[in-house]
This record gives sequence, structure tokens and C-alpha cells, in this order.
Amino acid sequence: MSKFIVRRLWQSVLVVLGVTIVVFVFTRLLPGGPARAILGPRATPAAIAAFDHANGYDRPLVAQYVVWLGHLATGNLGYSYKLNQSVAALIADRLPKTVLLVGIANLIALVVAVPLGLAQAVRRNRLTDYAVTGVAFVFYSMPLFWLSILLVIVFSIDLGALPPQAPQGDFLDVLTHPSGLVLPVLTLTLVTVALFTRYTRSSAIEALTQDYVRTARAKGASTNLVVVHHVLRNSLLPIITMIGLTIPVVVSGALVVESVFNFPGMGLLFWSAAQTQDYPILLGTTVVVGVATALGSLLADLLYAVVDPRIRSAR
Amino acid sequence: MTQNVSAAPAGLLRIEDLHTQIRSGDTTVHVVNGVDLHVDRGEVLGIVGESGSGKTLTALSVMRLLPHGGRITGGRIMLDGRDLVPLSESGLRRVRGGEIGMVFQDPMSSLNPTMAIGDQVAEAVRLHRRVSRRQAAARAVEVLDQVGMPAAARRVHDYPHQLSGGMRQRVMIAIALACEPKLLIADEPTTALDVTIQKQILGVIDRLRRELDMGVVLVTHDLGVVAGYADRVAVMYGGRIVETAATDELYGRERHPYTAALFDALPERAVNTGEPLRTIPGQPPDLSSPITGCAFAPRCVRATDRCRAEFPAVTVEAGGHAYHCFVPLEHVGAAPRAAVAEPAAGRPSDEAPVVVELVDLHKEFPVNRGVLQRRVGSVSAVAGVSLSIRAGQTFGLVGESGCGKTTIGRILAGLERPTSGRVLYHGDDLAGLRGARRKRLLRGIQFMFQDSYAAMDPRMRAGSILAEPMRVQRSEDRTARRARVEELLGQVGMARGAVRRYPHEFSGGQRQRLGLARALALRPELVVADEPVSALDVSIQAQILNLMRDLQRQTAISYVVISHDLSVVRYISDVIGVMYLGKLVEVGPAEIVYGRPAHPYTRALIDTVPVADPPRERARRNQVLGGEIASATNPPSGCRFRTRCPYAADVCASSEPPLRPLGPGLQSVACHFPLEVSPDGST
Repeated sequence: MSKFIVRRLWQSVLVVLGVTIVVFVFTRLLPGGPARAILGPRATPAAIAAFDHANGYDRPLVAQYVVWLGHLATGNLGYSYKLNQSVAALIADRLPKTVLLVGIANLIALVVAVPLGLAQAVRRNRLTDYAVTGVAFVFYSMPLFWLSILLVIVFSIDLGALPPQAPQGDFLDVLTHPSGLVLPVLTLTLVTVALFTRYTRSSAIEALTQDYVRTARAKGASTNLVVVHHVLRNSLLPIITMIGLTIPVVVSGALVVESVFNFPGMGLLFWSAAQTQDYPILLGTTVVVGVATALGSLLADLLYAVVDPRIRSAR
Repeated sequence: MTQNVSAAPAGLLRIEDLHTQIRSGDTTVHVVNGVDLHVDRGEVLGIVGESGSGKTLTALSVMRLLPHGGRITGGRIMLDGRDLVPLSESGLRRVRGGEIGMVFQDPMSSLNPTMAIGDQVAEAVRLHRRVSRRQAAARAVEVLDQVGMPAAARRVHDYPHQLSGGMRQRVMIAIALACEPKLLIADEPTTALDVTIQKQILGVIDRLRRELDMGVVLVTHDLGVVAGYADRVAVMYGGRIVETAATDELYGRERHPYTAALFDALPERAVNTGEPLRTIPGQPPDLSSPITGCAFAPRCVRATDRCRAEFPAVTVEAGGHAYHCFVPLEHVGAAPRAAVAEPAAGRPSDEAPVVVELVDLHKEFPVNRGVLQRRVGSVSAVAGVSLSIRAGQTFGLVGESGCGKTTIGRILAGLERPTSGRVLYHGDDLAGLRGARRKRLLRGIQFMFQDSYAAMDPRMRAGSILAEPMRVQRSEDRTARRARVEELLGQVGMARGAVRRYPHEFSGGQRQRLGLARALALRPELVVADEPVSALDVSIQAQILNLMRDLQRQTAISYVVISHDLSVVRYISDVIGVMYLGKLVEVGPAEIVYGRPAHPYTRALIDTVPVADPPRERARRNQVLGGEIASATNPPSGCRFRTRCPYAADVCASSEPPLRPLGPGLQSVACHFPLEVSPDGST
């Protein structure tokens, strides 16, 4: 098992390296390159050459990459000339807020959706199942911005119970004003629950038709016991896959919700950087999301092994 | 039925006029239509029938574990005088596992893959007994020990995938018996297992029946399995019991034409007679509408108008032999039928030219581990097999699962390349050839699969399925292909209209015919048939075996028939090769190998194959081959069979016995101590 973990860690490192190469090459290949983006369209060729030389952009690509990689390793993600801040500092400010927002939403969604999906599977094709399925489809097919605005209208404008905008300050500010988080979290949770119940329901239905469920019934086990002891664990694999895929989302943020509630998270950071061609930020955030993706699939693989003994012994 | 229950307390389980239906969508399938049966304590009742006869659904009705949409619509299920039908779900839960234990067919899928086996047994204990977690765990070890799990105290932490099929089925039995129920229902408990393991498992069930004084309901399609272990046998057809009698009585003097037809279709009944197997014409009944009259009447040669109009009331003879038939068979003074004929000389075909010859064939599958998938070992699937297949002959390859017989078949058909050794096809070594020449040569060797349904593209029509081999090989033009497809359909006894139908629209037997037709499409010289009939009911199996034989007579084609079923191999083969753990241990003319086996393993296989002959089966009850097939990653030194062989000596571990002929006209055997073959054929 420990050997397996070490092996998977190495694989994750390779994946992250691959991500950095791809990201690096792509941004260097953009027309004009970083000098044009920073100095503006009216910069003279001499100014661009001087800038390139000063920043090492005239050196061979491999050398540039190695230097950049060395910076990454020491936590130096680059410097945003547009915002006059280091990328690391920007991300350090935004990342905790986004993790808080999306993480809480996904955790709540998981806690609600798994039991709900199991209950649906047990009562499949009956009223409860149809009702939950119906509601889930409504939320899932609703555009996020529309749902957000709807919630704002109801809870902020009509009822005046909750602020329509997220706290603007730092992480501490967000933590000390939790009421500002309620609506964005609620929006994300509703949509995610809808998605998660679908997964849970279908994998639990499959588990319920397995022969070992019949064996458990033949022992005299009640439906609840069958579900808790036999169905839950066996239907966890697709849910784990889902959790693994959620990790990069937690890091990269929820752009739509962040825009509607003006929540200064990773999604907004990336979006504005993309609009202003702020390459250092784009590079930095992409690398961070790449690392999160690799970690997410690592986490999923490890959880598979915890849940399923067959995977454990196949390693 | 209006029987006073309190006045008839006899019988541990007594089912009266049971009706069960399964509703799905708009159709209602009448799966059980008035079953009456009873089982006493300490008694084994065998329920036999083909698929769709309602035998399994009768068993599931007792436990009320019916599939989705299933419902008991009438009748009573009395357990110790108490009717289970009106019981609530929670009342029934006390019966399930507590008073009735149940064992299912497939022990792999029937065990929870994510739960240690000890926990699965302990769960059953804790559901019915007020014991602590620790006491339940101790009880689990005790029961696993009882069912013959070696080192049970250590194995409780194992997961199902770490066990062999036989050990998994022992776990299933332990679960069923953890609370010492009064009644055990075993639904095809050994169908998924090898014959040697089947015998071990049946032995375990029978021993525990005596120890616990349980009643046992043994549901099976195999007339041989019930012969040795059942006290009484009930035969089901169309959701009813059509005949029931004491085992010896039923196997000698069956009265119902369906029972007789089942017996007649057994391959062992036709060996050496040279006659084709008797088949049952027609299709099993459609149960989606209620049946008037006898369900078997449309397929029965004796049927009269009365049979079609009303269901025959029960006739009970002295001794309790009961049947539902207006035109029963008579057995006036007739002797019980002889089950197995004496061995005779094999068909002389040694002069026929050799089509394919395997020379010192080896196949190893690598076992890889680590980041770089380093090779850490290998599974020796085939280890030095040489054999030759002659024109117009059938070579039967038998052995337990994992012996390498399927690998040889796949190598023959070019689906796999050998690690070393030669596959000589008319002098060309297929193992060394590549490219177009190999592709063209392989036309001559075709493969017929066990599960034809899985081996056919569900979105292709039968016509395209049959034409595909010709398309792939670019043989024949479009019109010639179409003509060939029609010819093939005719050869396998199917109507031309079949070309437009999809695989799911055919019955199991028809699909197997299609599979054979596809194998014949390129006019091969050799067809490799891997378990061609093991998924089929006896009556359908007989049709396919007859068809294969007829085609061989017409076209002088050769077959390699791979099967775990010795009766099938014996019926269809001219030469039998017996494999054990990658080695050919005995090969020779079918009747010699079957009649006078020289290798202890062959002997053991023959002794463990159940035959439909109760006295003989009872006499052989203790002839069990112990142990399980050894690991192919690390095979035993010397003779690979020595770990299970009753005659093994020191020399067996130190030197490997070569395959050597015993004499002219006799078999070759790889054994240091071949069984004495006396002139009268006894060993």
C-alpha cells in the first residue's frame, strides 16, 4: 500500500511537470509575447528587446523554462505588472476564499446528496424518487447566474434577510461576515446536490441489483441494514471519482457565482487576467489548478483502494 | 386444495398450490402455477427442470426474495405448520437466515466484494442471535471450520476475491448455516464449479444435513447431481411439478413423458449406440399467458386432445410416486434403464491424415508489477503440450478450469501466440508466420464460442454476422456470400428468414446454431469449439451435439471440443486429451481413456462426474478428489498433479513423468505409476 502511494505520488509529479511545460509553451507562443502585452501596442521594437533582455525572454526557451520552474519551486509564481503585485500574493489572498466558498458548498452537497440518492435508489420509480429527480433536474438545468439572481431577489431584496454581495475584504473579513457567504454557497450547493444525487442514485441502483444484496436479504437483513452495510460501500466508487473531479473546481473557483455576488475569488482573478492578457497570473493560476487536479485524482485513487479491497490487492 | 393443516402436520416445509407471478410493464409472467411439495427434516428433495421451469422461482418464493415485480398470488407455504405467505416483511426476516438458509449459484457475485468473509458470516449470526461482536466472530470461525475452510481463524480476514470458487461456495454455505436453520435451500449450488469441487461441496452439504438434521431443497438442472444426494426428486415444467417420486423410482420408472425426454437427451445415454441423441422438439412454453391443459402437450409425442384441453389431475401410486399425465409411460416388468454402457473400442481413424499438430507448445502469461511494470513472474498456462488432430476426427480436451485447455484452443485458432513450440497446419508453422499468409491459412481453423450471445455484435443482423468472416477474408463476391449464408442457415437447421433478425431475437439454442454456422462460413478444416453446449439446457444441448456430429459426417470436418463436461466430451469425441495445470496427462481413443483411465487424475475426473444413476452415484459418494488445482505461477515440481494424487511417491516430486504410450491401440499417459489396465477393462 505504501509503495502504491509513493508510486502514485511520482506519477502526480510527472503530471504536474507536464502541465507546466504545456502552459509555458503556450504562453510563449502567443503573438507579441509577454513584452507586447506588458508594454502595450505602441512599444518600440527597441523597448521590447530591452524588456525581453532584462527579463530573460531573449534566452532559449528551455533555459527560460528551467528558470521559471526554479522560481515555481521556491513559491515564486511570477509578478503581475498590471496589478503590481506578486502572483503568489494574489493567489494567497484569493485561494482561501474560493476554497471556503466552493469547499463548503461541495461538502454540504455531499452530505445531503449521498443519503438522498440512496433513499431514491431504495424507493426507485416511486413518488419520492420521481419528486427528487424532478427537483434535481430543475436545479441542474437552471443557469447559475439566473438561479443566483433569483435567490438575491427573494432573500435580499424581498425579504431583506441576507446581503446581496459577498464581503470584499480579506479572508478574515469573509470569515467574520458569514451571512455574506450564505447565498453564494446556497446557489452552488443546490446545483451540486442535483448532480451528486444523480450519480449516487444510479450507482446505488446498480449495487441494489447485485447478487450479494440478495444474499444479505436471505440472511434476514432489513432494507436499512442492506443499504448501510452492503450498498453504500459498493456504490461509493463513482462518488469518489466525482469527489476527485471536484478538487480542481474547489481551487479554480466558481466564476459565475463569484461574478454575480462580486466575490473576489480565484474565478474572478483568472477571468480578469484573461481579459487583460496578464500572463503571469494566467500561468500561476493554471499551474495551481494543475496541481490541484493531480492531487484530486491522487486522492480519488487512494480512496478507491481504501473502499475496495480488490483494488488494494491488485497494486 | 382444501387440506386441513392441523390434521396434516407432517413435513418440515409443505407448499400447497403455490402461484407466483412476475409483472413487468404490461405483461405478467405466470412463473409458478400451483406447486405442491413437501420436505421432511433430514430429507433431501431435488427439484429438477430446465431454465424457465420455475424451479428457482419456487425456491425464491419460499424466502420471498422474488425479483422486481414478483408476487405470490396464491397458495400456502407452511414451515413447521406456520404459513409464511401472510407474514409481514419483518416477520419473514426472522425466518430468512434463522429458520431457512439459502445458497445461491454464483458464489463470486453472491458475496459482498468489499467485506471480509468472516464479517459476512458474523453478520448472519448477529441478525438472529443476541451475541456480542466478538461472539459472532467466534461463531463465524466455527462455522467456516465446519464447512471445511482450511485455517478458518486466519481466513476470516480474507475478501471473496482472494478465494477460489470452491472456497467461496463454502463461505456461502457457512452464511446459510450460521444460525443452524431447519431448512436449507440450495439453488444450483455447484453449477459454477468444476466437477471435482462440485463433489466436495455436495459432500459438505450432505454432511451438514446429517449433523444438523436439516431438510434440504436441492434445485438443479443436472439430473446427475440429484441422483446421488436426493431422497426424492420433483420434476418441474411450465411452473408446475409434473412428476415426483423417490429417487430410485423416478430414475428407473418415470411415468411422465417430459421426465423420460430429459433422461433420453443425456449424452451418456447414447454413448456407443451410434444413435443420435434424442431431443425434445419445439420450444419451452410461453408463460406470459395462463396455460390451459398440460404445458408439455405441444412438445409431447403422446399428447391427446384431452392433454391440450385440461391439466391432468395428480395420480398417486403406491410409494408416493405422483404425476400429472393422462398418457403416462408404462414400465410393466421393465428393468431400470442402464445408465452407462460398457466401454467399447474407439472408432478406427488413426489412419486419417493429420490436420493440425502441436509440438511442445508452451504459453506463459507474464505477471507484471511496479512503476515500470517489471516482470516478476509468469503464469505457466500451457507447459509442453504435443498432440495431433486428424481429419474428420473430434479431439476432446477436458480438465478443470485453469488447466490450460482454453489457451490451447485460442492458440489453435490464432487468437493467441505460443511462447514457444510449434503449431503445424499442413506443415506450416502458424506460430512463426505473420501477415497475409497467416491470415489466409487461419481461414482453415475457426472458433466457436461458449456464449454465442456475448460473441455476437448485438446491432448486427444474423445475415451480416454470418457473412462477416467472408468479408474479413475478402472471399466470395456479394451474391456468392448471400448464397453461402443461406446455405449455412440450412446446414444448421434454421430458416432463411433468420438473416434479417438480431441476436437477441433468437433462443439460446438458435444462437449456438448461428455460432456454429459462423464458424463454418469459410469452410474450415477444423473448428475449435470452446464449451459449445455448457450454457444450454439438456434438450437443447442434445440438438447442438447431434448437429455437430451430422455436419462432421457430411463434410469430414475436424473438431476440437473443449469442455469441463466429460459426458459431453465422451459422446462427441474420437480422441480425448486430459489436461492438468498446463500439461497433457493422458491422451488416447475416447472409449479407452474413459473406460480404462490410466492416469489417477483422469480416474478421479470420471469418478466425480455425476451420472443420472442413483445406485451408482450413491456408491461413489466417497470418491472425492481432495484439494484444489495448484498455482500456475509456481507449479509443483515433478508431476504437477502430485499434490492431490493418492498414489504420489518421492519420485513424483523429483522427476516429471513423460507422456508415453501404454501399448498399441491404448492411450498415452504421463504418470510414474499408471493405473493397471487389466484386459477386462477394470482398473
